[in-house]
Amino acid sequence: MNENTVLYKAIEQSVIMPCAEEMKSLPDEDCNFSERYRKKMRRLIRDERKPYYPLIKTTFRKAVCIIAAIMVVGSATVAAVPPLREWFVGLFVTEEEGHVDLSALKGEIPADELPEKFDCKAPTFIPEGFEEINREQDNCAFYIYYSSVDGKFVEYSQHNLTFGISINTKDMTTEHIEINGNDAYISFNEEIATLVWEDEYYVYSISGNLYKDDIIAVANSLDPTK
Amino acid sequence: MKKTKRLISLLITLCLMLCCSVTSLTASAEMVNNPEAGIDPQYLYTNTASTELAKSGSKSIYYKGSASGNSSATKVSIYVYLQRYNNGLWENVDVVNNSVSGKNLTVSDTYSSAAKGGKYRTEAHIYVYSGSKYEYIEVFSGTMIFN
Repeated sequence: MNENTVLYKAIEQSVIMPCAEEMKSLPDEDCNFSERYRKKMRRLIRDERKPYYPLIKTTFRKAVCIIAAIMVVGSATVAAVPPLREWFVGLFVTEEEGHVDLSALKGEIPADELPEKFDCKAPTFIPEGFEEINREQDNCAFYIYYSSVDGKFVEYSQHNLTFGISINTKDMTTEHIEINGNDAYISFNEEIATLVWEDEYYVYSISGNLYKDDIIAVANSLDPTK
Repeated sequence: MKKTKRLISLLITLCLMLCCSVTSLTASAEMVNNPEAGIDPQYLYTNTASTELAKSGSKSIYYKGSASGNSSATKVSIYVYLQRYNNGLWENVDVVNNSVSGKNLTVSDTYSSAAKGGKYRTEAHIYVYSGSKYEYIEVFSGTMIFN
């Protein structure tokens, strides 16, 4: 018998045994616990049975708090920064039966984003036989008209980004192509061709009695007018 | 209970039938008032139709519409409506129109009462004739905020 065993016996006789006797002497009657107390007990029992449950609950709460914080900070940041642009520039093509609608703008462009003074560009190539007969400019656009002695015509125009155009595609061949790296749309047959493209600042159109390769060559030859 | 269910089913069916017939009648009335509505242009006489606008002064907007007919075209009429967005609707605030015997026409005008912050666009109604026959084309510009 070592010292610990003696100590245990002493504790048993002096503390545990009297307590046990006292417990036995208590009357055997049902106790009414409060609902709050019972809930606590149920939770303790459940946590005891499923030891991972408190961990999941705590982690879930933390995750919700972090997400909520990110959302609050994120929305405050977004609200603090004004929207950069409320419009988009590109060649937007809506193909319908017999025609196609083309525009360069999606959204609403402030007027001061449109060029006040045109940076006019004119073709430097025009197929043989055509001669320039007129050029005009107004607040929206810049035009050059060409004609040939045999009655053929070519109209070149440069417009601001509000330009909307509908072109005939009935019995025509249509293609999406590129002009100087920009999206373009062409509709053509043996007699006439129409080509529309944009370059982020302007919309360009060439229409007339030209073959496909010629109209593309005219478009690719644009140069700022002096 | 069964009778009540049948009655409810019958009522729902009647409501649906009534809704469908009202929609059809509304569509028919619209077609009569506006014969162009719902008819796709055939592009028998037209090559191109276009419209656009630009700020031309502190209170003014320049707007225009153009059309180019093909070899069958004999006459071109253009109506260009300058529209302002107001309470969810596009309202006409100005109009310009013209007709010409020939294949090509451009019409333009300046509106001098533009409001700061107003949203504007143009809607062009284009009629291209070949003798007594004609086709109708609608084309829209992009939207510009006047500032």
